[in-house]
Amino acid sequence: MSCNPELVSAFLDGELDEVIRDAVISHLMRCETCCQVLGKLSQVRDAFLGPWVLPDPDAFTSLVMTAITGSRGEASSRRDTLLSHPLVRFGAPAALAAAAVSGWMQHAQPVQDAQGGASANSVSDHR
Amino acid sequence: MTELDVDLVERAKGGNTKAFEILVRKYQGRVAAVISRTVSDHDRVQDLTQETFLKAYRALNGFRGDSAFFTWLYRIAINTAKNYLISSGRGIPDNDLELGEVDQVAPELRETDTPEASLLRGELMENLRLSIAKLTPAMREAIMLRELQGMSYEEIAERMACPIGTVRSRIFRGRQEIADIMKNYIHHGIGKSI
Repeated sequence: MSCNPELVSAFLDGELDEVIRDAVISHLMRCETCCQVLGKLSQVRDAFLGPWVLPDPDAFTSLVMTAITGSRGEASSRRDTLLSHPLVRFGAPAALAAAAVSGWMQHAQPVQDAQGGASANSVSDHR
Repeated sequence: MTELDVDLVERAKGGNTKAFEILVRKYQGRVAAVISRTVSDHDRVQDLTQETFLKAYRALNGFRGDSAFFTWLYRIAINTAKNYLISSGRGIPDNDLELGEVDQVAPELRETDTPEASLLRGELMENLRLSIAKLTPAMREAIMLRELQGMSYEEIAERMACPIGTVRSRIFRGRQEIADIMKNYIHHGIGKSI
């Protein structure tokens, strides 16, 4: 589908059949010019709702999307930084190993205690 | 989920930010209009509109589609505006903002206009009126029936006794001409009287 601003206007109004709507959406996904037309036509439609309209719809959309992709990028960058930190890279396996050992120790403790107790008993018995 | 935005919402849920961008372009003005009825500072309206979309994006996976996407977005916008009013100690207007027929967003929200919003509405409407007056009669009628009476293209076609394609064309060309005429006001004169 090539650029068709008239269909973009009807898309805005929810006045397209499913097949055409899908084609318009696919077109919008790759056509920046038609996206800008969508923003401009929305601005006119929304002027009727008032009392005020966004002065520059394109700039505003960019602002919102930068905040969204920025925060997403920032989160993934923070995650990447965290994951690449030596303490995490080597510390995490070490912590897991320590936890496993600790679990094993806790599991083993009652046996030792029992053995210790038995031995204490046996000491006292010896006494 | 309401058919209209289902595809875009599903794509956005799947991580397609371009799909969300189209939703932003489609609804940013409506969200700003909702917020500007209770908050008169323009910069603050833009901040709260942005905040609404950020919250919506973060909560998108929780949107089950029981209502239309805009209805859901509208609730977030109303709550964002309410929270701002409470946190800034201004309180919520006496006639509290409630969710009504959001597709007819203008009439029920008009009741909550602040004096500044009413003044701005007057200014904007005057510019709109002047722009509409310059349209051809057929374009003007199609635009008025659509924007002020909320008629569908089919209803307008019936009323104007013309094919739906002609209605679509008249509405598009009418919007385009209004945009061109209002460009100066929108970019330079907006809210100057406040």
